[in-house]
Amino acid sequence: MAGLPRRIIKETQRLMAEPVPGISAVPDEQNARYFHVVVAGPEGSPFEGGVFKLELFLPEEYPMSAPKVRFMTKIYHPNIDKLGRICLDILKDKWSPALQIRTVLLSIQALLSAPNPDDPLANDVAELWKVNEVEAIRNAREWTRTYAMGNI
Amino acid sequence: MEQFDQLLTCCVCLDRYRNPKLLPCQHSFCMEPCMEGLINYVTRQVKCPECRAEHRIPYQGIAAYPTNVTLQRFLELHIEITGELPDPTSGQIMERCGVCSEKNYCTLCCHCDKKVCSDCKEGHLDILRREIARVNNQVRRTLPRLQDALGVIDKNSTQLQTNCLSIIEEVDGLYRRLSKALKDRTDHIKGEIEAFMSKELKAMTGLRANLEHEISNFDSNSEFAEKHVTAGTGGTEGGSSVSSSSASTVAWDDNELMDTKDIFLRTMEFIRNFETETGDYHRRVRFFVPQDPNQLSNTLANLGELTILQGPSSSSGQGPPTAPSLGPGLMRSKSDHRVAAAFRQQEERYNSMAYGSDNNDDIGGGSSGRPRYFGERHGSVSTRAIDRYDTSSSRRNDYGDYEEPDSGRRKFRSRFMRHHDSGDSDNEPAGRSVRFQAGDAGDPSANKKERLKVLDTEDAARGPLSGITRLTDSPRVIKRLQEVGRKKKATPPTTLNLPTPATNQQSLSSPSSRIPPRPTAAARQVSEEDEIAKIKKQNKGQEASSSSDSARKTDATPSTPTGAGERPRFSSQQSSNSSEQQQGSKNPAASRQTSTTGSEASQKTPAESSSSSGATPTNETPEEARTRRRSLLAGGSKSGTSTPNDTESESRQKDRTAVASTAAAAAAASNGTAATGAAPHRFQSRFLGRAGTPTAEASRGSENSQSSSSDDSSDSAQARDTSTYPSSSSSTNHTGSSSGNSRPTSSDSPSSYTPRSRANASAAATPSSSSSRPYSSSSRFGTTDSSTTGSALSRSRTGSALADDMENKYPGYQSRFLNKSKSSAALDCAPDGGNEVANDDDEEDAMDDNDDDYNKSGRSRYAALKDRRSRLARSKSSHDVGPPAPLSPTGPSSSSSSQLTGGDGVAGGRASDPHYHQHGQLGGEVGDTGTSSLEPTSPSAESASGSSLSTWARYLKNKYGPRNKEGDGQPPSATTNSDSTTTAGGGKQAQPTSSRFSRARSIGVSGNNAANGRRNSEDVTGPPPSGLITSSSRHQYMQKRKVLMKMGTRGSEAGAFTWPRGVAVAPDNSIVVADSSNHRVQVFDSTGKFLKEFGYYGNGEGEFDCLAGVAINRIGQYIIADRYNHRIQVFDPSGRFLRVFGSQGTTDGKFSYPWGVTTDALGFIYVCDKENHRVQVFQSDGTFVGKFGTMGNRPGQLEHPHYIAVSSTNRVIVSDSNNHRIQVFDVNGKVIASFGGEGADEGQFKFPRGVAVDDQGYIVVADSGNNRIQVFTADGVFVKAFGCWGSGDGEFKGLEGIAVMSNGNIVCADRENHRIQVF
Repeated sequence: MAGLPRRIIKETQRLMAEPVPGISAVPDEQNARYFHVVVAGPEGSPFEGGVFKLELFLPEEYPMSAPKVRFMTKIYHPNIDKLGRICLDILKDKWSPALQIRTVLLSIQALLSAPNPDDPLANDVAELWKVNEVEAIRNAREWTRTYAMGNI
Repeated sequence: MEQFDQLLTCCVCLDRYRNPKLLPCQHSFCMEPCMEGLINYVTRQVKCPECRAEHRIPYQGIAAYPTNVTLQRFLELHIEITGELPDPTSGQIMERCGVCSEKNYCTLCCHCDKKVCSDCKEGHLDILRREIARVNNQVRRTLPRLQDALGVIDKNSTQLQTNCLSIIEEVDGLYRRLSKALKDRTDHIKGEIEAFMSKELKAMTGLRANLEHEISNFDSNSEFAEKHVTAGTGGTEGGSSVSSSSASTVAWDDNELMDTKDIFLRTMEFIRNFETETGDYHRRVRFFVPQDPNQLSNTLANLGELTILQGPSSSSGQGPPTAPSLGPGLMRSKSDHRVAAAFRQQEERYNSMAYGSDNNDDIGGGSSGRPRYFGERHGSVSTRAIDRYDTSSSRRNDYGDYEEPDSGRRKFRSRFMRHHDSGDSDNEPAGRSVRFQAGDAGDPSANKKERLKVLDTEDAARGPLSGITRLTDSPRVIKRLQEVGRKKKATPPTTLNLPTPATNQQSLSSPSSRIPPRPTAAARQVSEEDEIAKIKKQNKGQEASSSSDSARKTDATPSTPTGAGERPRFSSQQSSNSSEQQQGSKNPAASRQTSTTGSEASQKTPAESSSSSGATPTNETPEEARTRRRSLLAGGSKSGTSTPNDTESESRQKDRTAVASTAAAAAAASNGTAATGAAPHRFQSRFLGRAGTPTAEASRGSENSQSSSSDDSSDSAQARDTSTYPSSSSSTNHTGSSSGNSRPTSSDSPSSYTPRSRANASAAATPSSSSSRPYSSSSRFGTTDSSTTGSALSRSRTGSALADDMENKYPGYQSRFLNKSKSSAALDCAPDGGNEVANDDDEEDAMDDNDDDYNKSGRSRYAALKDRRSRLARSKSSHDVGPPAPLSPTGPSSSSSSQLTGGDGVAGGRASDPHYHQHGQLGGEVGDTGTSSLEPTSPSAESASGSSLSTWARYLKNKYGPRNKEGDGQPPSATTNSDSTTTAGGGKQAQPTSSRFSRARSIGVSGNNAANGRRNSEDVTGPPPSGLITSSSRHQYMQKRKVLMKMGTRGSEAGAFTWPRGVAVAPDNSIVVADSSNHRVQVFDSTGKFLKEFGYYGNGEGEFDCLAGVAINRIGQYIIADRYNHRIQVFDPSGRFLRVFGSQGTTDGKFSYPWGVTTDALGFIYVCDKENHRVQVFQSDGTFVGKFGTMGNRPGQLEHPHYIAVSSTNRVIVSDSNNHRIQVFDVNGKVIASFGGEGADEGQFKFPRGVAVDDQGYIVVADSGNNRIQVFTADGVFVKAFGCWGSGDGEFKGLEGIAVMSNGNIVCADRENHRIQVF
């Protein structure tokens, strides 16, 4: 395998040097393309107070293709399924090489703040979110308390 | 500022913009790889990462997007402001890596000759490092070869010196001889003249006296007549006065007057007739020289010629030494030249097959057109060096003689010289420049297109032979080391594999305190500066004149890279690499440039095109150059061709080593299989198998009898024994009868003797044991002079445990011998087992006591022993002898005989050591081999006898052991001895078959006589039948001079020789010749008819390299001293390879030019380890047994011992060549005698070489320097010398080996005449 592209090195260095508030991304010791990510639940969201673990993997083609990101912590979110897969446009077709790890993670944090039940991945959650947002938010808080607190 | 920075950063690669391309959306991205990555090849669109706008890609590709010039200016501005260094990759274009096919900034990798990315390159560097390590290992492993060569050279130099010295000696000797001859002749002629003169004078004076006498007679007569006769008449007839005066006149009667008249008439007649035969006394002596003295002096003036020996068998078959005055080197080079010529064609073919470049040619056709200089060089360092050396060493064999290893060296040298001399001897710049142009490739460090020999250095630092530099001498290396040192100081190394010049610079400029070597660094710095200064000077010179350029070229290192100047100025110059190196590192940008203008540079083409376009010029010019070089140096005839064949030769070498290893393994295997005991056993059985011939049988019989005197057939032994009894007429009779009887029996029924002997032994138990006790001691005595009774017994014990002994090496060896002798003494029946073991302790004690005594009073003790013994025996014999005269070897008779033999054995032992020696030896032989065969027949008897023996022996020892020391009673034995010999002789003679060994026995007797100084004994025995053998030898030798037979001329066909050296005579009297420079062994029958040959040149099994000594052991195996292979080879009687042992070295069992070789009756192999100045002894299976001799000229020391012989009495005779003497050792290496000194007189030697000893102990010496053969008695008393320098019959040129046939004929190798002569 060829060495780590310069861009990844740079990004990693920068992530370590200037971490994004509420987000930490640490490269795996064995694999510099694999990051252990922890995202704090954004304030004012039902995920507030939760600490969500994610994994992020930079594929070979990165930055020409999007990183693969997945929630490790269970989360009650219409755009995140039970397996932690995330429905986020920039991780799919809207990926741009101009985006970076940090921007991706920021987007994910933003996604937590603003769920988008219209483009659901977890249909039941999205349904509930659309039908009974209060109920859904309560569930989300519940889940957060259950799975995303004290788990680190 | 940070934002400004950000603005200059490409958002895709997060790096500074490189070649920013502006999209229609006004966003800019680096063209590579960022923009390229954005391409959607399906839609041929680019999606802006920033705004996601999609843009059609222009037809020409993304490169057609406008470059964002503004951004670029900003970038430049930014660089200027911040002082940031430019991106090293700026201006480069990304390419696909030739290995991983990723797009990257690629550089040319010198390893694979592809453009590769830095990652792959790193991998390749790793590979290179590993390869270097591997090759380095190989180098290390193979380095000993060079060291060996060094040793060889040393040896050869000493050899050369000795050779030259010996030649000088020879010349001196010749001079002395000639002058002596001249002087002798002069004296002789003078003497003759004087004799003649005195004779003539005497005759003259006689004549004169006679004449005077006559005259006085006549005078008185006339006076008388006048007075008394005529006066009377006159008076009567006439004169008165007269008559008066003649008153006294006698009256003569007629008779008287008639007589008087008659007298006067006769006087008258005499006077008239007398003619002074003055002629007689005028005889003049004239000195007449049949030959023209001028011619003679001419001959003398041109006498002798130095020929440098050259092997005739050289593959090219050419080049007899033409000019003697030329050094060997020159001649060799000549021949090499020829070989080179032969190879040239082939090589040219190779070239026509288009080796892309000279470089390739060197490599041997590796990757076509792929320059691989660096790696290649390393590879060549090891493999080439080895190959060359190897080939040279193989070639070495082509040269027959002394100088050949030297030749190897020379060739080696010249070969190498050829390569790195190219710069020196090559006056054609084109060849060089072309070569390098072709070979050039990118420089790893600086992205140069042309490859530099970065590690080259000044010529001075090169190895003189290989042209290989010491890496640490290379300025480049020094610099790099220095850098590393500094870097270590500065920062923890960031593992830059190929630190770019820039980083180098940086690291250089940022020193820190961590790493010490300040002083060295400084020193390096200095040297570096020196280098720079030098370079500058060179540059100046360069610029100044082109002539200096050419000059530079000539002394430049051969491998100076021509092209690849960093600056135009340099490019034209053939500067040393180091300079370029430094320049290169300083001007990285410039170094990237390919070679430019310049005188030589014009011939260079860019490296890229080198493989194709460069090929043509390269091929031709270097080729020419090389051939020329070759012809000049002529060293590498083979090497020259082998450049392409390098790999081939390497593989060859591998094969060879493989063969060697297998050979070694085989040898080991054979060693392993051949148990110590087995060898002798086989020996025996073989002999028996052969026994079909009467001789063989007889010999076997004699052996047996010898060993076990119980054997009836061994009449002689018995006879000898009996004879020892002084008193016993009866005993003698008995012996005589027994011998006579037994003889026929033995011959009739040889097969039956073993059992018989067994029976004898058992029956003889008591008496024999008694006898055996002393006997054994005596035998022991015989074999090892210093040993005593105790030791004898112990010996026997050891004998039983032969195998064990062998482990003890030397002691074992000795013990073996001893035990053998003992066993023989003990009549074989003397069961090795019982008594010996029982007596062990006692014996050992005794041994200790006696050891010292022996030397002083050994003899007397012996005598005493014998006395006692004989007394015992006598008493016994008187009883037993009478009746038995045993035809049938049954109980009593046999016992008597055995007893007798025992007694005789003792007597003999007392009589003379040699006798005993022989006795013991022979017996030992049989005992060794024979015990096994004997034992089965009557184990019980044996055991019985054994026990009885042991007790008896003990008793004897207790009783007599101490008294032995008193030792007197010698005298009476003397006469008896002689008698005994006679009888023995008679008995022997009666024996129909004249087997060698029976004869040997008899000779032993006579030998002992001789040893006793009673030579008359021979005379006593002399009369025909009995004395025939014993006494004849002396007569025979005295009469030697005439050539009986000669064979061979120079040549390599069958029956011809080239420098024959060792000769040997097989038991069947066939003559074996070491045809040294034909690398083969030839075998002739006793009449000189060619029988067979075997061996070829080489170092494998059954191959020789200038073999020297040959020997045949008793079972007909050939033992060959393979001189230049430093080993001994053994072949079976049919010439098939059996085993090999030894290698070059100085430790036990290793050789340095083994020369003479011989074997004794027991099969031990004695080798003259010439250059180690020692003799080594081995078992027949090659197991090292012992050694003796060191370099020196004192007794027991040796200097270049050449040949060796072992007598039947186990005396080891060594020609101590450079000490001009013959030394005689016992089997343990103790000096027994030494005789001869440098000189040409009788009994003196000049570089004696071959030695031989006949059955009676007469020693025949090939007095090489005096070109004569001398014969000595066993004591070294001169008997006869014959032969002189020349090529006629009976003349010699450089005697080598010598051997004596069983009939007393002397076989000698007349080396320079390439023939064998028999006298």
